Amino acid sequence: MSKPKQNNISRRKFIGQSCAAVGYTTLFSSLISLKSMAAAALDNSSVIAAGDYKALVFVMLHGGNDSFNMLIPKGNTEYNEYATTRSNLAIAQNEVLQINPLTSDGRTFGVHPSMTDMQQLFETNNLAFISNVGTLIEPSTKLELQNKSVKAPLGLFSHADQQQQWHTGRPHERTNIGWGGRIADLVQSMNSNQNISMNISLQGSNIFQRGNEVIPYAISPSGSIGISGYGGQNGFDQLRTEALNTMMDRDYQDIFKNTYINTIKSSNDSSLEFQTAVDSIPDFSTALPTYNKLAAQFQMVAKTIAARDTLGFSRQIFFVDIDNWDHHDELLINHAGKLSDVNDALNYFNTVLQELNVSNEVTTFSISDFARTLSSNGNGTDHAWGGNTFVMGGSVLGKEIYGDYPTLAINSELNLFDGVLIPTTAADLYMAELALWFGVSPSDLNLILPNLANFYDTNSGVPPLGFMSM
Amino acid sequence: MKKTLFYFFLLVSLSVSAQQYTDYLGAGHSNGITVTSSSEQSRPNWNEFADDENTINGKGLDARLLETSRFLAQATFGTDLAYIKLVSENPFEDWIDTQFDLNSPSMGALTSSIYVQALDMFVANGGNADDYFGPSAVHFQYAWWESNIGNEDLLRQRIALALSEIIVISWDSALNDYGVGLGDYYDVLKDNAFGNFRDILLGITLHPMMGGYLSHYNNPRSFPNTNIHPDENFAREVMQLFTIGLHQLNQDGSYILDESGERVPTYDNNDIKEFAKIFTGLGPAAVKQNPYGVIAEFGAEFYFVQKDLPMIMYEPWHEPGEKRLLNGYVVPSGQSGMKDIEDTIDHLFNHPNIAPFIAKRLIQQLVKSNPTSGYISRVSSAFNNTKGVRGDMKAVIKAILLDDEARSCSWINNPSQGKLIEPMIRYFNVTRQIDLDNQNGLNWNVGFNFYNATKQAPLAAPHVFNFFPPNYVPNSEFADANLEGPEFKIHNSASSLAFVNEVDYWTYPQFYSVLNTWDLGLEDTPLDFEGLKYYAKDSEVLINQLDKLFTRGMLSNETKQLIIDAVDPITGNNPNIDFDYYRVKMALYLILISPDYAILK
Repeated sequence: MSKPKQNNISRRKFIGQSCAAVGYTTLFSSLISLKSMAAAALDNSSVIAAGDYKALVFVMLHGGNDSFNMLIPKGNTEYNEYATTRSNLAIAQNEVLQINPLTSDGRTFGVHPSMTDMQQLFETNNLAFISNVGTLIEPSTKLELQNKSVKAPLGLFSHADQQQQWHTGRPHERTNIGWGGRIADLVQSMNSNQNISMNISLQGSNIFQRGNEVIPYAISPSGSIGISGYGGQNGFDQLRTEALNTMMDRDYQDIFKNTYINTIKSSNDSSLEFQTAVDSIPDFSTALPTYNKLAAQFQMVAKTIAARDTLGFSRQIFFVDIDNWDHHDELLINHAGKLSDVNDALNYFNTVLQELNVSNEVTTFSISDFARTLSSNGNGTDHAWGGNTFVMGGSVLGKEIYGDYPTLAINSELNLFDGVLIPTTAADLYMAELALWFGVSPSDLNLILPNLANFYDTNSGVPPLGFMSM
Repeated sequence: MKKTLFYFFLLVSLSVSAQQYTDYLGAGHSNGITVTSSSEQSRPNWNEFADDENTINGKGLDARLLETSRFLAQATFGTDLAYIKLVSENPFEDWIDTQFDLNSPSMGALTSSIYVQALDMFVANGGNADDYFGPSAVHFQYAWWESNIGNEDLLRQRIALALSEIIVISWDSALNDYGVGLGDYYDVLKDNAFGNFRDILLGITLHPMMGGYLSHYNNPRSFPNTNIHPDENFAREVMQLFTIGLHQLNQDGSYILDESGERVPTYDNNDIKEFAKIFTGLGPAAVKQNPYGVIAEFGAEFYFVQKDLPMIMYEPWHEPGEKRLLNGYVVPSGQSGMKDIEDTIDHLFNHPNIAPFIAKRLIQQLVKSNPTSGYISRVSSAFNNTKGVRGDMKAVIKAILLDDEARSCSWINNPSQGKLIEPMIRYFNVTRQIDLDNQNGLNWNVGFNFYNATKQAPLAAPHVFNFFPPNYVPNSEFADANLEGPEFKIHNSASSLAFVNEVDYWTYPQFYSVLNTWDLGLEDTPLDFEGLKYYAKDSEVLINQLDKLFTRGMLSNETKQLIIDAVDPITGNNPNIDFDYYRVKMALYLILISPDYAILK
């Protein structure tokens, strides 16, 4: 009655030995070009020593962080400008927690009162801010934007577009390939593990981590799951496993069916290896903050990093995401809660990384859709543009504010309208600095960030912003 | 090889799309569909019979059943075989017309009454009434499931969910505490599903739950001396997501391009600021009784608002003066705030983008991720004007479901055809298409395990952009073929396996339930395998039965064979083992995770 089964061994074997096993790209992908690209990247970069490890951790503050209430003027002159413009949304001057950058232009700054630990991380050189950074295609002034003599990013102020551009580094086009994915396409071959993607997401699919070849491996804060019963020894599970293998190993003509089943297959393949390695990591002595979704994601990132040798990773890019920053309403209360979560989670993560002795190897950086209007809509703020980000790690040249902290006066030349600030530092520079630290060669930067040349000469020999110890 | 095939199909699809729909499964053009003669399936326990010749000439029982199963997979959350049989007996348009007259009780009222019932149960079960919170999102979930098991308004419920994924509010937010408001918002979508799109638009605009979600509740006019400007949240999203989108569209859904080949924005940020002025001054129609002296006035805290009454206008808080909207249209100064809103709703409702914008999103929800321009344009024209009525949802729905591109089986093997059925609809399918062993007589369900696994439940999107964006491109294969696959956004390494394991739970009915409640002492409801065990003696009969229910007659030979190979060895003489039970489990488990089922072609 039963028909002879199809022989699927060849495909399984082939994939097991090639880069195509990373994610679920198919045989139609251009493996050859990937190999040559990776080889080129290796040739140009410094030799990878044994035990060498670096990780980037992208912290997405999803919805648009009101970051001029995160990094706040503290000195009288600049504070008064801030308070006038922000009106009923200003944080009281005496509540702003002062920070003391190593380099100062005479102005004094501080952080939101919820950020007590981040204040300390800053003061102890582990954290830096980058100010008024945003998506740009080319350097732009208010006049140039108004008379349209410069190209402005597509879909300014729209969540979907601005998130996408922070993920892709390409504000001039709508593409689904991210700069983290492009980096991974270049360096994935440095990892001895070719079964599990080096791009690991704690928040499902995202554009940032998708390359032309690499796609993110999505796990949950409790790690990865496999298919229940798969590989089980009882009779039922043996039959089930065989049926699943047949189903997963088949090539479907249909793109929808192929994508559907290949996701299941590659996830199941990765899960056992991944979870075994992660489960072997003992619990950290640092206490996990409770009811903190970001900290829970950081915990799994740290466990994955701790298992790097077992898993065979020397380069990894992580994506964590904390939602609900779109504070059109009840900004003061809700934003304080969010920053408090970030503060607690960052402090936890920093301590755990110290516990693992990898502080210098891991760089954590924040990105958000945009900052928010400096002016109020009653009790909230709307979508704006340039904003402030933080970057944390042992290799960060901390205790500095990079970029130019803008004047927050409502009539300033940077104010497009209603306290929407034109960025004075291109997002490209921020991304390029991180990519260089991660090991991307200067000559490859323009491949990843095609507008970078409008802001930075990759042959200059100086880093784009200088916040990383290279 | 692949490229060539794709272009070939593209040519075929172009030539086919102009034809009237004449084809159906079993009519001799059934690419990719295996039609077996019903008499082949006559087994000792098989109670259906049709002559070979009837199958061959297209009158056979199964061909029409399979065709109907595919239709109902697009138009409902799934039905049992008896219902498929019933619908198969008449033209699909007749069924649609019948459905237009059906409605189930108000979801808002039901949420409210279910809460009262649940509170009684909680107390009867030994709980303290003060410890029982609600009506909350939990009670809305109970009401949603109660409305969607054993109900008759199948098409209406399907459309309501589709609309809820286009015009999004979510209890994954501060709205969680307001179950009646969630239900009442859902009623706007459900009760107008066969009405007019303008009524939907006005209804959601004035709904306090939308006001709470996109913050135009208590949105004051500008106060320039304190740098306060109107909240832009709703103004932006009502255009970007609910009506016209970011770029100017042709009626076939393609982008209008300027002379340099770039898309043309529909609006800019100045326009958003003008629209933001319109949506100022809305406040509570009433507040709930409270001991704090809070009355219905502008500024009343959202918590106190009566959530099932439309917001009303508080003129002193509405931005005065004219508002310059799109394409030169001006809302004049001096009229009432509510007239400003009515005019603006008309302005959006009459915008040329709305027809193709809504057409494509509804098609993507119901039928396929990548409709051709011809399909979109046929649905657009239904939206634009049917018998003089613009925005007639009945005409739009018929245009979508009866189109050649939805119905003809010549489309089935087209690479652009189909969509990934989103996880929660696969969940609904299981609970509706397999018998339930329901001991408590209610169909309440909290769906929490499933939500944890997939982050999906009705009205539970993570943000206003829904669970997945309509233009999501999952990978380079899709990108190379210029295809979109929205639902793949939530099909990743974590969620895809979590769903497989949910199926594993469901198909162990002696251990796990599919419907369950919290804290009420109600028995959980698992699947009931008895009906399927009847067919389980013969694996092929069992699988054919499941094929009709789940894979719409499109179960591939390969998948069928692997299931047979897994089911057949489950047999033996041990009287203590219910082998048929495990045969059903194996077959159902495998079919529910197979691409043949998850991808609706």
